[in-house]
Amino acid sequence: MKSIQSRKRIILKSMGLSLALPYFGVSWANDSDAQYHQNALEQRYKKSDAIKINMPPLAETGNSIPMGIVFNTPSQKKIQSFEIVAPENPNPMVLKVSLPRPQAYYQFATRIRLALSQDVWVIATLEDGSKMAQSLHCVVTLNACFDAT
Amino acid sequence: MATLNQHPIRLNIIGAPTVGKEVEIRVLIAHPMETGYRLGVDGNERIPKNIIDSVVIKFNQEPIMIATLGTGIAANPLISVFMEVPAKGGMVSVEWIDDQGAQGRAEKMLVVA
Repeated sequence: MKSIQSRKRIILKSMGLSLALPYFGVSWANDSDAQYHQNALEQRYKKSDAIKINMPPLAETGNSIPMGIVFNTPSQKKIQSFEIVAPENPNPMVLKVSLPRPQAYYQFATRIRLALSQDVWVIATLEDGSKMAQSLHCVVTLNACFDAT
Repeated sequence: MATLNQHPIRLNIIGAPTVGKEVEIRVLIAHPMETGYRLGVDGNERIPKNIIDSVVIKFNQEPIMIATLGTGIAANPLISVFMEVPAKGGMVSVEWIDDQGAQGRAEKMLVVA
């Protein structure tokens, strides 16, 4: 009798596991990350010349890559906030900046980490809520320490 | 609460502070920016994630830039912004806070030439 019960439990447990696994599989790539996939970004945003990204096309190491951004938007369109997105990084959102005083011309510089060679995106939100974006490909010869190495 | 020695912060104002022209405000914070993906020396346990959450640059106590940082910012984060010099100078200050509650602050006077 006991053995039947224990078998039942084993079967029920395995069923539970098989139901749970796809759930975890789905939850691993959550919605907030999916919107930052390379294809999704390309479909969603139109590239604009108002944003210029200064970044080396080839970086020796992904641990620290200098990145400069120059926004020079058409008149009467001021930038309220912008974000840097690296779609292939484990956490694609690199940086979000909001400007309490919106500006038409703005310069910004920082140093970023890249897990792989990829397109780095800059997405700016204007005062009227519209968005403009620009991307630049960067080849990384040695990946940043995002993995367990 | 971090001491100044643990996470030194450097705030520089670069360029001639002439009214109407731009100066660069450069912030350099000594912080490991641990991603949470790296393994420790023993190779068994991951080093806990510890990154700077937010950096706020203020001019005369009024925020001019609010940044939310992710794991994609390099260790010892450098942030450089440009600001137009107002007619009267003022105090430029930077505040940051990280995942583990450590925080830092620095300020520098912008004197108009």
